[in-house]
Amino acid sequence: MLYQKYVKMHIKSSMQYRLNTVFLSFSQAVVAVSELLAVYVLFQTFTTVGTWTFYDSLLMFGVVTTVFSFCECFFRGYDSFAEIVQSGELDRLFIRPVNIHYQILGAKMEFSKLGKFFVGVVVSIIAVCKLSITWSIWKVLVLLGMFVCGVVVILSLMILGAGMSIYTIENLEFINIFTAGSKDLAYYPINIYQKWLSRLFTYVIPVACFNYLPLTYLVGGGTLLPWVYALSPCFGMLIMIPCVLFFNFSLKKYQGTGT
Amino acid sequence: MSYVGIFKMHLKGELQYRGKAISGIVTQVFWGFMRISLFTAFLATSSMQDFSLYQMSSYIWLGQAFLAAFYITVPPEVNKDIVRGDICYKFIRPMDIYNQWYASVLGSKIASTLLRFSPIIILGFCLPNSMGLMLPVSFEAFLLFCVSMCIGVCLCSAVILIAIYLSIKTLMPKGASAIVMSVTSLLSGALIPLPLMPASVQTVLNFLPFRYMSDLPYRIYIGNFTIAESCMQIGIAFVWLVALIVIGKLLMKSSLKKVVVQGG
Amino acid sequence: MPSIIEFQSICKNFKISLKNKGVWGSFLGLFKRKYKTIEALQNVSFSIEEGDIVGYIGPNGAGKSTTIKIMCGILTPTSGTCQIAGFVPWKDRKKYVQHIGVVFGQRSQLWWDVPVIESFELLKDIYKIEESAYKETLQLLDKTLNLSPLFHVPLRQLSLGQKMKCELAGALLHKPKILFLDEPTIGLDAVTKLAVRDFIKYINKEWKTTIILTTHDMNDIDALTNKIILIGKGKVLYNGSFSVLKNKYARTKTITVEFAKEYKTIQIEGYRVLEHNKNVATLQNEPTTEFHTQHFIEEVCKKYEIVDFSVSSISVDEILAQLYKEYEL
Repeated sequence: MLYQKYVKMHIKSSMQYRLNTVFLSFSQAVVAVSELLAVYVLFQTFTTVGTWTFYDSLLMFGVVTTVFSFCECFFRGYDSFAEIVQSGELDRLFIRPVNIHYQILGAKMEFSKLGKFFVGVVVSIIAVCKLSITWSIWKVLVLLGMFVCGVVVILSLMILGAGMSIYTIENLEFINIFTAGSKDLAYYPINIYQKWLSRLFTYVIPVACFNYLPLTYLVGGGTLLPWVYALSPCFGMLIMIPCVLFFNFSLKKYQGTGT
Repeated sequence: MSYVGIFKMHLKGELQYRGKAISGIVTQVFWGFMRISLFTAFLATSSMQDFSLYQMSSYIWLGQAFLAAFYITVPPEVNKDIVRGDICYKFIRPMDIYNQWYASVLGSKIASTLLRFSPIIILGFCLPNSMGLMLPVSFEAFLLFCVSMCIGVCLCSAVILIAIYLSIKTLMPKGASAIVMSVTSLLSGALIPLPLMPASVQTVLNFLPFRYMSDLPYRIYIGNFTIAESCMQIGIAFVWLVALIVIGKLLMKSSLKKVVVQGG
Repeated sequence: MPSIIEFQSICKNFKISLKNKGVWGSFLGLFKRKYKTIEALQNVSFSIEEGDIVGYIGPNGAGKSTTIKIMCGILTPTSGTCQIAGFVPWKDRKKYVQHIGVVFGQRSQLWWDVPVIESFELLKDIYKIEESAYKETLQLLDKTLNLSPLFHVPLRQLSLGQKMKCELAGALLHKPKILFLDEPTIGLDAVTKLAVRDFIKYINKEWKTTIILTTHDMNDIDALTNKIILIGKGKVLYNGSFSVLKNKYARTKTITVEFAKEYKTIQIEGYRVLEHNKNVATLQNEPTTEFHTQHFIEEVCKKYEIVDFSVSSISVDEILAQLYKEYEL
């Protein structure tokens, strides 16, 4: 498959800078660990927030870090789409007989994010062991659903940002509110924030769908029917549709105006 | 180029982009609300004696307003020089490379801060007590805040120069600056305000230079320290500033020697 | 020959924002910005026949790259119609681009850090080229460009000329019907330039590939093309044979004459004196006068005593300069 060839090429490229990739991976791990320490320190002072203890947050940190670094590694093409536009590489994508999205997926990969990914996976495993959950097949599925939903939501936001970068190269910091914002918010239960914030990150950007909603199903409790919590990751994935539509519309616009 | 010239150049560069400044401000305001909302939730579980809600929100708004002043990053032009290997030419020039970079870093910090801080400060004053920015506790505190801010920004620039040194040393500026940045933002209280940390952690951080960058001025502003305490802490900050500049200069000189030897 | 590219009254407008000057101006720019519409192409029509090599020339900003981008399907025109190889480029993109190859002189389509051959293999998969056809094409490209020593070297370690050879090969792996070359010889040394030109000619002859070439190097045009399209300020100014144009300007000769002694003034009917210094003068025939050597010598010797003289034609660069001047570009 073509995608495998792309991956192989990226691996070969980064092997040319082996030391650099390893060092960057390490630095990404350091970044993740210092964020983890911040969460830890906060729970040292306060012990709980809302209904959550440190281990609930730890699981969320694991999920978010894993999902984020996965997206940053494999969906780098959308993440740094502004570069693709500015360097004129986008023109090149148009003159290849392959779907544009497929090419963007293959265009860039950043394996140094795997340092962070590793931290995320280890933290997730520790948290799952420490949380007292009575496991069932459904719960395992919901846990996996959290990861999948997280990937889809972050990817959608990256696609949204990529679409915006066709119109402007200056306003891109704005999209950070949603990408980095949903990352930082999601370490803690989305329902502890002020109403407008928690609504924004539940209904507009469905961060809650891989945050406290499915976690409520895992640890039990909650006021709604259990299946609502269990299925919440599926609802969250719907965000992909408008984001992709917007991106395709932006591409059409690019063909109309160029840069 | 004169130092004023360097500053002017950065100011012009900053003004070049309409959207960048505005979207930066919008992002920081949003972030401010987010962080205040989070810490409010934590403070609701158990309140703190010397860090009220209003003090906390003031601390956050100051942090958002002066984000650019304390942001740790290797300047992109230095980055490019290192990656391309043009860095050795810089060392050949008959100028003190440390001073030149220091002026450039400080200049860009002042320029982008001046452009961005006021809307956030004004917004903070307009917000209600539980989530807004308070006025400085006293006029003396305000003066000391200004002094410690100046020292803090200089201290931060000195840390960046050390990050630049590490970038040259490793020849991997991205990784080096990422490490310095994340460690610094944790230890300086940019991630979690120091007063929200356990007492034992705070004690340790008092012996490190990082909290004298942003944490000290903000806490003088919200009235955490008496005048005498503030003066003493500013003194410590100044000692750290001198120490870090001396260390930075020595390190830079050692890497200069290495470049010369390599150049042979 | 049927025409393979048909461009009919294509217009393309862009809206660009104006930047203000100075610190204060750029501060104002934070709040308000003026826009200006630029007509990059105005009613551009031309057709290109299969198997032609066409030089597409014009000064910077004339609309060359906009035209190329429209032909590649990257941009859609504001109005007008365009048919290339039976396709409308910006519709049915995936099928159309299978038939074109593009080389942007200053941008690479190959991977920077991996050996060249691996980039080729990836292109093979992207264009879904059959293994046997790929091997055959690669062999031919290797034979003409002498590529095989470069196959296993990462692109970043190649010289500019070697890179260009690889780029050309990369753009031709899928045997496109049409090849777009944007400044293919920019920055190359003399030897490589000649090699690249020979290769382009060879491909054109061997595969009957239609080639559209933009360049600032008039020697490229002279060596490769017989047809040129001159564009300026978004309009087609000249479309036709290059030799006709050359003949038109080549009628102008510059003659340097060395006289036996110093004459105060020199006057020869039908000729202009460009320069006169001591006993050497540079002359040029008036547009109305046809230069004829015997006639010229007779004419001069009637009045003056000469020692030596030489005749030179106008260079292709000067032709272009004259053209630009004529059209006020």
